Amino acid sequence: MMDLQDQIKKSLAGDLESFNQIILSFQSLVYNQAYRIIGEPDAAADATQEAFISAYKKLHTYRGGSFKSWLLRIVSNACYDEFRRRKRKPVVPLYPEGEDGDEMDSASWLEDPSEKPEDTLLRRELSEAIQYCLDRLEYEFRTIVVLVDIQGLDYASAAEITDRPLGTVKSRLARARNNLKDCLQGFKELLPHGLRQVGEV
Amino acid sequence: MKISNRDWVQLSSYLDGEMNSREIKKIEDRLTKEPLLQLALEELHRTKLTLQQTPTLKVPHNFILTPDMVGSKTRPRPVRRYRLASALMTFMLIGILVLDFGRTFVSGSMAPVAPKEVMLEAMSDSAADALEEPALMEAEGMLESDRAVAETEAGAPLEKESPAPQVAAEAVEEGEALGAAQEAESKSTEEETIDADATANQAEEWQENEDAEELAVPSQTFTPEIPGTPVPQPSPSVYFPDDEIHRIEKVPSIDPFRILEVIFGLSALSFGIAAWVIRRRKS
Repeated sequence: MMDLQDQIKKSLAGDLESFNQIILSFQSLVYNQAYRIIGEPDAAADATQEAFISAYKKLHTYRGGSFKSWLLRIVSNACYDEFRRRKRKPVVPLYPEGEDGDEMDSASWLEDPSEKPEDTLLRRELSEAIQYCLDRLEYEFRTIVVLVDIQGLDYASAAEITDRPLGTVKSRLARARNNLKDCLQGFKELLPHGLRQVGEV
Repeated sequence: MKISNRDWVQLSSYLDGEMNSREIKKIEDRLTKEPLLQLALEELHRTKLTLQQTPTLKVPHNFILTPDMVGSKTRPRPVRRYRLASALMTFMLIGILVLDFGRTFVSGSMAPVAPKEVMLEAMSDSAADALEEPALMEAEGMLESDRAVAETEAGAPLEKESPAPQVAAEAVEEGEALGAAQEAESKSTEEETIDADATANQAEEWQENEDAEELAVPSQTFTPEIPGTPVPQPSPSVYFPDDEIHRIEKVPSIDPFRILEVIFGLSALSFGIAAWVIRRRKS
């Protein structure tokens, strides 16, 4: 079986079959990244397809290094384009500002007065609960937390993919985790037993 | 005690191992002293573990690429190419027109006038020929009617050897010719009568040969055939004088600028029509 570098070389020479082998190796990673960022299966599939087409056309810009990071950067851009195109309903930020302009620390604003999240998503799986909380994050915060906590990338790779400074990645990741902690408190019965004590601080 | 945003960032970085040794030592000292900070770190750790347990979704279908998916957008459409070619040809046409105009403007009125002068001269010559032509016809008729008179003329052979234009020029002056014939008739002597008889016999023979030649080659020449002498054949210089032949050779060839203008113009038109037809078919 050919390794990744041989497949890339053959793809650069115009061998589409070699690039399709690369696609089969990375399509799960790319689709999951797209789904966690966009939150809709059909839109995620469209973004994934566009990302692979774009990757094939821009393969000559790959200068070595982590191919996974290079591919995830293309996916993130495709997701952002798809995100703008679909013009989703306005996102309620997890860190709203109070009347004095300061961020509110309490997650009480997340509660729906008519129906609590745990009642609505009682039978939903953990995956959907996490996606529910991810969808409440702003786009860039969501992208970073997916890259680091779900895809397992380090800060430097996340900074390269999102084209943001390392300090920005650190601060946004911390704020995203803090807000996800509060959001996931509403689905603690869906969490594994050892993880239910979330959101007590 | 409240956890600040800076504390959350440091805890998050500590959790991920993204701190240097000095920062690690500092935060660990605080963690031993501040139980609330320790509790916050545990919560962040649980949150991270929860996110890491996010199940991997199964892809709805394979995302392999086909040649159509890759090539359809990269291949330039023929309409665009035809449009581009049409625009290019149009620009070339404009450029060559500007150059042509500039060349005409710079060189003044000399270059364009030269061919006109040649044409005007040719026109004046043909007009002169047209004017002389009725006179020639008239002269020919006159000469035929006067051949009977010429049979009796004494010094006719010398005059008959003159070329046609000269005869025609003399024939135009009809009055002079008639006067000369009457004068020759009144001045005839006995010796001249004998010579005239001999000359008349030769004239009759010439007349027969001349009639046969006129059926074969229509000619305006009036060349009597004298026995023992070769019949002078009409040379091209008789019909087309040297200067006239040179004028024909001097007719200027087609201007290369005109050729380029036609080529660029037709190309622009063709490409434009092709683009329009393809677009109509697609729509």
